[in-house]
Amino acid sequence: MARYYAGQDGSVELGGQPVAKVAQWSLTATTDALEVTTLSERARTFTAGVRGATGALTVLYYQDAPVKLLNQLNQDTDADAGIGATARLKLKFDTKFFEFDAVLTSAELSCVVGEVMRVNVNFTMSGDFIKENQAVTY
Amino acid sequence: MTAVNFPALVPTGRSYTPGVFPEQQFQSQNGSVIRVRYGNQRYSSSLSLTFANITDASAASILENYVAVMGDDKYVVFTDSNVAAGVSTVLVPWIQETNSLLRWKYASPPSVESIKPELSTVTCEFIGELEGA
Repeated sequence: MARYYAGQDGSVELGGQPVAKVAQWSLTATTDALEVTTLSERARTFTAGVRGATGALTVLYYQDAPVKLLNQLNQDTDADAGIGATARLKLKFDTKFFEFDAVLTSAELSCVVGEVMRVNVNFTMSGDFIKENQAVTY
Repeated sequence: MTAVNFPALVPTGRSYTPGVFPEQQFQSQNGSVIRVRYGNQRYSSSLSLTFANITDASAASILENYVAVMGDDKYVVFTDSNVAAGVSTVLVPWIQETNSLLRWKYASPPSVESIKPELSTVTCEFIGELEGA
């Protein structure tokens, strides 16, 4: 029987350290479409351009988190010195994962009545997926 | 002058102007104009071509064509399967300048912009010159 994956299989590592209390992660891989339509053609044609990826994490905010994402984003004095501005990000589900270097581009902290405080973090991949460690066929 | 064929590439952008006639214009103080016409052949037509996202090999073929034409007393010839592709037959003689005495020369060196590895965008400017008489 086919194995399906669910949210309980997911996890995230940043700079080799697990990011605890992750509620959601998403990844969007993109490729530019470069137009090569010539003047003799009546339909647009394209060729593949540069690859890239962006994504987002939603992390529940709590005291003593192993990776302080807000500090990491600001690269302030409380940021983990071992995790640079461009950090290795690993989005996992079960034994499979996407691994790449990423820049944390934004973090939004929200505090809402009746909800657990959470941080929405956006990131942009720097470079390509690290294929030698890739366990995902995509 | 001998002809050199332009590479078999169809442009992604093309702009043409038919040039002007040799004349001197005199305008009097009341605004009236007198034109002294020195010839009945237009000159300095222009053709601007863009080849977007072509292979580096194709870009190199344009550069080689530039050297072949401008490095000697030669001119460029376009065909309706490359530069004049996609225009109606009534317009082809204008793009090719076969309806005039004009000959296409490079007005400036081609510009090569690198887009991604092995892909470039090349822009070329041509000027139609009257063959020396």
